[in-house]
Amino acid sequence: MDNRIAITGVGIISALGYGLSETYRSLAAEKCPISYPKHLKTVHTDLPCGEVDLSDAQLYELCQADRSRVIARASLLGILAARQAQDDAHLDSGSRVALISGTTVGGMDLTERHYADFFKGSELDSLIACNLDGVTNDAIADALDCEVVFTDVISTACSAAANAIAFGAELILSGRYDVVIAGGCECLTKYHLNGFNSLMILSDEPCRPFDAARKGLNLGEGAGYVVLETREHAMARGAVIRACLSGWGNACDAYHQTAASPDGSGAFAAMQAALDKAGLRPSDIDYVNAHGTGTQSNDASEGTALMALFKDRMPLVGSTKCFTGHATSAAGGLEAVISVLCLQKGFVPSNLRFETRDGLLNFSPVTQTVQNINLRHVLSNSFGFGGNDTSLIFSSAI
Amino acid sequence: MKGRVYITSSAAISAQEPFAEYKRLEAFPFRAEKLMCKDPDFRSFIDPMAARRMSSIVKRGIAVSKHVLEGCGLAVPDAIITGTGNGCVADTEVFLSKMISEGEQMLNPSKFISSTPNTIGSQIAIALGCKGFNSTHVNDRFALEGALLEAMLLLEKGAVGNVLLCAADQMTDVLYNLVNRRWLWEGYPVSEGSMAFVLGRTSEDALCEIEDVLMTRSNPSWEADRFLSGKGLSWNDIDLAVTSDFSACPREHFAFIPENKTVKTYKQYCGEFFTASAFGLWYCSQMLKEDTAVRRILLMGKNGGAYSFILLKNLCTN
Repeated sequence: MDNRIAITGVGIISALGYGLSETYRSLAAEKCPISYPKHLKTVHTDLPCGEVDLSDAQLYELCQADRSRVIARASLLGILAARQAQDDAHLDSGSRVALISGTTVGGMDLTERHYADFFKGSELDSLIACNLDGVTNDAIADALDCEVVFTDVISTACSAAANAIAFGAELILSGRYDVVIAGGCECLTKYHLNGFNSLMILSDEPCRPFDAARKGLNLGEGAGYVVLETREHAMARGAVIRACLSGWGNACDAYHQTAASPDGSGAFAAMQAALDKAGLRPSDIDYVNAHGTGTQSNDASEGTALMALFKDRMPLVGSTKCFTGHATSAAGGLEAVISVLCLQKGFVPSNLRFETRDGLLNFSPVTQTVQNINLRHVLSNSFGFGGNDTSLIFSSAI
Repeated sequence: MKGRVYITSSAAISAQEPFAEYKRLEAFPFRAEKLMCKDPDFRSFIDPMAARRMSSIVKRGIAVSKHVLEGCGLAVPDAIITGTGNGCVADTEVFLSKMISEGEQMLNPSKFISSTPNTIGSQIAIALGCKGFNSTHVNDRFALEGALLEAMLLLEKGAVGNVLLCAADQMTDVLYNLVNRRWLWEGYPVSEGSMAFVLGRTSEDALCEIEDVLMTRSNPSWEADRFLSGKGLSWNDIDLAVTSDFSACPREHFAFIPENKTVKTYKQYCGEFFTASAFGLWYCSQMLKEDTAVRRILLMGKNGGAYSFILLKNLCTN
């Protein structure tokens, strides 16, 4: 049986811009949008972030959302990306779809703004309820034109969107739903900026994934969604298949709540499971869109797992977090869309700012944009706190 | 061919006695003040040094998981799937309050680390040494249902042989005040709980079969009919409807249940929290083990305008 799932629509908003063409233009031009926070009101103005350069008011306007309804920034980003995916796949009001989102911080931007007032008896208490991830997702479902008959949220920290896409694929294969919109959304908040800062894993410079002198990650924000359906269903309704999701794998590092195991056993198991699902060998992978956060722990662990899997035949490896920052729960969604873009355009983005190879690793990432390359299979990694490791394999439509 | 899915073992830490028995449940009055969990002695499950750093929701998750695994003689499950409506909200509140009061300076990361909802499932994985599939669903009142659906998908196709399903929520003072002040939960007693289930592919020694689960935002009356007819069943085949309403008006939000159906509720035993439906699933699974007269139960829940249906079958009817 053909387990490949057709991807018939994509939508993305990140620091790179809104939509596929802006995203492609910024990536191809090696234009790095990481800068100091402008819309997030924090005392940490010295910590670079991959911020979407739109205020909440501008996002409301782009969404054509009712200003009297309180909507979290993550939902506004999610509405823009999920709608774009819906329109790209030509889904209309007659389509019955499931919406699966990965998110963790949810509506924390609203909660942290109004939390202190709550204790003073403010009428804004209902904003506290916006912190619930399910509420964040339902706001997206309500804003879509197609009929969303089922919503669910996966919250496995930084692998949440990748797990949402994998769950969506299983839902399609089970025959329970014909079409699933899956991905993730997350906005910058003071809450997790301070959390990551207290862990001392934020870099005070734009991040340098896999570099020996890497100093940590930059947080980012955004949303990325893909439309999933069986190839038969896509062809029957005359949809254009942009690419396929051919494999997905999930494993738990079960090592430490925040640090990755030195041998990368969870990462290795997730990648191997994705290859097994796709019926592919390591040598079939042309490009690895790495988790590559730029922290000491992740890049050493992920690099070790990559060496164990690919041995002396390392494919092109790069992290696009040097462009987007680490959009935590949305990262897997952004990188799914970027992987589809790479397959369609035949290019591999540069792993910016890499200079010196880590002594632990026997490979270097891509240091220059590769154009006119025939990509067949792209492996995308998303690893989260708690050792929640997930790998997805995207393949060309043909 | 889809494989069948069974509940092999189930356990609950709730407002009842620790790991309560189905036949010895205490019913609490509507509008009871606050129903806190009655905790077991955690020392039999977790190293006291490690437990000191853990929030109650994580300790309960590990304890109830170990208890349910012992109940069926399983050391390490193939997969761990967790459902939680509000995650590790106690640690979230601590970090958030400190961040605000300290003006984003000099923060200790420990509460941030343990504030993500997947802390429960990953700490269970670390405690059990389980490197298999691990996922967490966070979806208001349907967190258990989403986690159950993902477990069903893995088990039906035989991707795994068994799944540890855990569903948990904890109460905090802030949450309690919020819910009470806004009358958000319509006067249900505010509570908390941690439930665990071992789901498997064999009926041997199992409590019951899970025939299917559905969550829908469409018309619940049509969807219920379609859900049942899809299995060649009708409401006539359902001996008992169990709803998430309170006992005084068990059909309040489920007017589509045929009038001649017997309807039971479970929240008089556990109170209200986001994953209370997991207590409902525990209640039904234990009932089906004890009571051979009930052949099929339809367990129903509501989340805003969406409805859930879990179809359970007694193994004595085979």
